[in-house]
Amino acid sequence: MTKEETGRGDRPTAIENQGSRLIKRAIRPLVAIRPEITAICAGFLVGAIVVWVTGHPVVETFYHLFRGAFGSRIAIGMTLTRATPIIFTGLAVAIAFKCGLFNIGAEGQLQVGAFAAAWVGIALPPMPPVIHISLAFAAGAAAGLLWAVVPAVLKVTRGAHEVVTTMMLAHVGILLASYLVTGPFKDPGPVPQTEWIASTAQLTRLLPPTQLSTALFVALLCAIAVYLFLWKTSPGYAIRAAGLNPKAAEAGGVPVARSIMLALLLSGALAGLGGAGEILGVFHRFIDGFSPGYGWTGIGVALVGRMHPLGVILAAVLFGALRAGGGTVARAVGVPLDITVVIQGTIILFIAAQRMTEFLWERRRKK
Amino acid sequence: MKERRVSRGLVSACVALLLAVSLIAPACPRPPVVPVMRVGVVTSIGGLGDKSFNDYTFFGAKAAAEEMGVPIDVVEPAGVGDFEGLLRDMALTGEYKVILAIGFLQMDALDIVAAEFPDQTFIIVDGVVHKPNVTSLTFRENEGSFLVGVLAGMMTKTNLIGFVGGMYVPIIWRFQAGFVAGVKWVNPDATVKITYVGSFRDPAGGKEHALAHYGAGVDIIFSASGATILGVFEAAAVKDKLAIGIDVDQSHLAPDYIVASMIKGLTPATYHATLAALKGELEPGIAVFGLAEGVPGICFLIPDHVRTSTVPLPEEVRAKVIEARQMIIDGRIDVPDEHDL
Repeated sequence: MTKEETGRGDRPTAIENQGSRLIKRAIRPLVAIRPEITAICAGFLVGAIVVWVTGHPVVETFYHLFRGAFGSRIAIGMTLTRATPIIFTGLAVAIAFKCGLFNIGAEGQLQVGAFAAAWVGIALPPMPPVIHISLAFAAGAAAGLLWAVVPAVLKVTRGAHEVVTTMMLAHVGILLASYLVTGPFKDPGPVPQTEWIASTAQLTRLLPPTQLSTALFVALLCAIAVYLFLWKTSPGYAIRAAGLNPKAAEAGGVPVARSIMLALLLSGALAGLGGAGEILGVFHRFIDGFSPGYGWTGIGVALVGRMHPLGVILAAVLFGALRAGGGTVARAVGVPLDITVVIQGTIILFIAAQRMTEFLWERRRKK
Repeated sequence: MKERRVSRGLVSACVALLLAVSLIAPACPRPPVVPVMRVGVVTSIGGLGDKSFNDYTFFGAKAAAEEMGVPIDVVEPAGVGDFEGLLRDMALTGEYKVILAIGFLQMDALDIVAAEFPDQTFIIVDGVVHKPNVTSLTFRENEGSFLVGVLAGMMTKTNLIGFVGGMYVPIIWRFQAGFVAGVKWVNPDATVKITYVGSFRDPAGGKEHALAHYGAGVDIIFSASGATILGVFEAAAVKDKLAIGIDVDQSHLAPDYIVASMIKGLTPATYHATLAALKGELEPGIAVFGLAEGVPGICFLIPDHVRTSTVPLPEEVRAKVIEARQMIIDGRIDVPDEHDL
C-alpha cells in the first residue's frame, strides 16, 4: 500500500496489517491450486466458445448444465453417482503415480473387479448383507489386485515399463469380462449381462430414485485410507520417496522394489473396488460395456486432482457433474453430450500444460 | 515483494470469483418454461450418425413429430449407466407426450423408470418391457434375412457364402438363422461360412473376417454387425466381390459391390408408433414387425425405391425373392429364428 492510497503516515496500522494477513490466509489455498483454477476456467471458456460457434445459446446451456448437475436432489444424486467410480479409479492412478508409476490399465482392473463382485453376488448362498457385501467388495479388490500382479512383477524383476504392461492387460481384462458375460455367465435374453445379484449383496440407495448408493461412502473411506497410508505410515513414505527419486531412495535405505510392488497392487485393488461399487450399487448385475471408460477417466481425475486424495474427490465431482449436467443440456438445449467431453479435455490439456501456465505466471511476476 | 504476492493472490481470487459467477449467474435469467407437447428420444450406445440403427429409428420418430408439428429432443448416452438417469430426466419434466428408448440395452432402465411414471407413455425399440405404459417394438429380422439369403444363394458362383456377425448375441443369431435358411431353401448345395467379430464397432475386424472369407473362395457376404459392416464393404471392394447391407439400404456406401440390403423396417415402425402416441391412440404391449406387417424385408421392395447399386440384379433372382416373401406372409415357409440354432 502506498502513501497516496492510505492517505496517512508511512506505516500501515495494526488493523490493516491484520486485515491483509487474513486476506492472505483466506486466499492461500486458492493460490496453491492456481493452475487447476486456470485450467477449469479455460475448459469452461472453450466449452462456451464451442457452444457459441455452433449456434446454441451459451447462457441457457450453462444454466442447464448447472441445473442438471446440482439443481435438485435428483441432480445431485446423479452427479455423485457418476463421481463415485472415478473417485476409485482416480485414487488408483494417484497412488501408483506417487510411486512414479503410470497405471494406465485401471479400466481392465475395474472390469475384472466388477465381474468378480457380480459373481460373488450371484453365486454365494444367502447370508447377512454386511458379510455378503464385504465379500463382494473383497472379491472385486482381489481381482483388481490380481490384474496388477503381472505388471508389478515384470516391472520389479525385468524392468518392463508399466505403461505397456498395464495397458495391454487392460484389454485382456475388458475382453475376458466381456467373454464371460456373453458366454458362460450370460442371462437368457437379448442383452449380454449376468443374472441379478442377490438382494443381500445390493448396496443401499441413498437418494432414491437415483442410483446413488453407499458405494460413495466406500469411495470416501478409500480416499481417507489412501491419505493416511501415503502420508502417515512408513510404507507410504517409502512409496513417495521411491516416486520422487528412486536412486536416492534406494541409497537412503528405502525398499524401492517392494514399494513399487505395493503401489501397483494397491492401485489395482482400488480400481477393482470401483468396479465392484458400480455392480453392487448401480447395476445390480454385470452388463457388458457397463463402464464408459471409468478407468481412463481416472487418469484425468488424478491429474486434475494433483494426485492427492482430496483433489481426486473434488475432480471426480467436477467430472461427474459435467456428465450429469450434460444429459440435461442435450435434452433441453440440444447441445450434444460431447460438449462435456470438450470441457473435460480442455481442462486436462491445461493441467498437462501446467508448466506452461506456471511459466506465464513467473514471467508476469518478474515484470 | 510482499504486496506483489498479495496482488497475485487477488488475481487468483478474482479468477475464482469469475468461475463462481459464471456458474451461478446463468441461474438468474430463468428461461420461461412453456408446457408443450414434445417427443423425446434416448438413443442407444452407438448414438446418432451410425448410418444405421440409431439414425433410421430416429428418422421415424422425427418424421412423425414433424407431421404433427411437435418439437423433438434427442439425447445420446455416454454409457449404459446413463440410460436410467436420462429417461428419468425426460419423464420428470412432464413435457413429453411420448419418450422413445432405442435399443435392448435400455430394458432394465426403462423397466424402473416406467414404473415411477405410470402416466408417461414410453416406446422401446428392439426390446421388450412389460409395463402398462410401455409399447415394445420388436422385429422378425429372420424374415428379411431369409430374403437376402435367397438372393445370395442364387447369385453365388462358388457355392460358398459368408456370414459375418457382430457381437455373439441372440438378436444376431436371428439374422444368421434366417439367412442360412434362405440360402438352403433356394440352393441346398451352397455352404454358409459363419464367423463373429465380437463387436458392433470394429470395422478393422470386420475387414479381416471378410478378407479371410473371400480368400477362402466365398463370393458374397451378408453381415449383421452394426458399424463393423463398414469393414466388410471395404474388403468387398479390395477383393472385387459382393456384399449385402443391413437394416436400411446401404448400397450407396459401395454401389459397385453392395448388391442389396436387408430391410428391418425400423423407420416405418417407429414412425407409426410415434404418430399413434402423439394422437393418443398407441396401444401398450408388444408389437412385432415382420413381412406380414408390411416390412419390405429387402431394399428393392421398398415403395418408390431407387436402386443405387450398379451390380446387375437378374430378373429371376428378383422374382424368386418376391415369391419367397409371399410364401412367408402366407405361412407356407416357416422361417427359423435364434431358438432353432
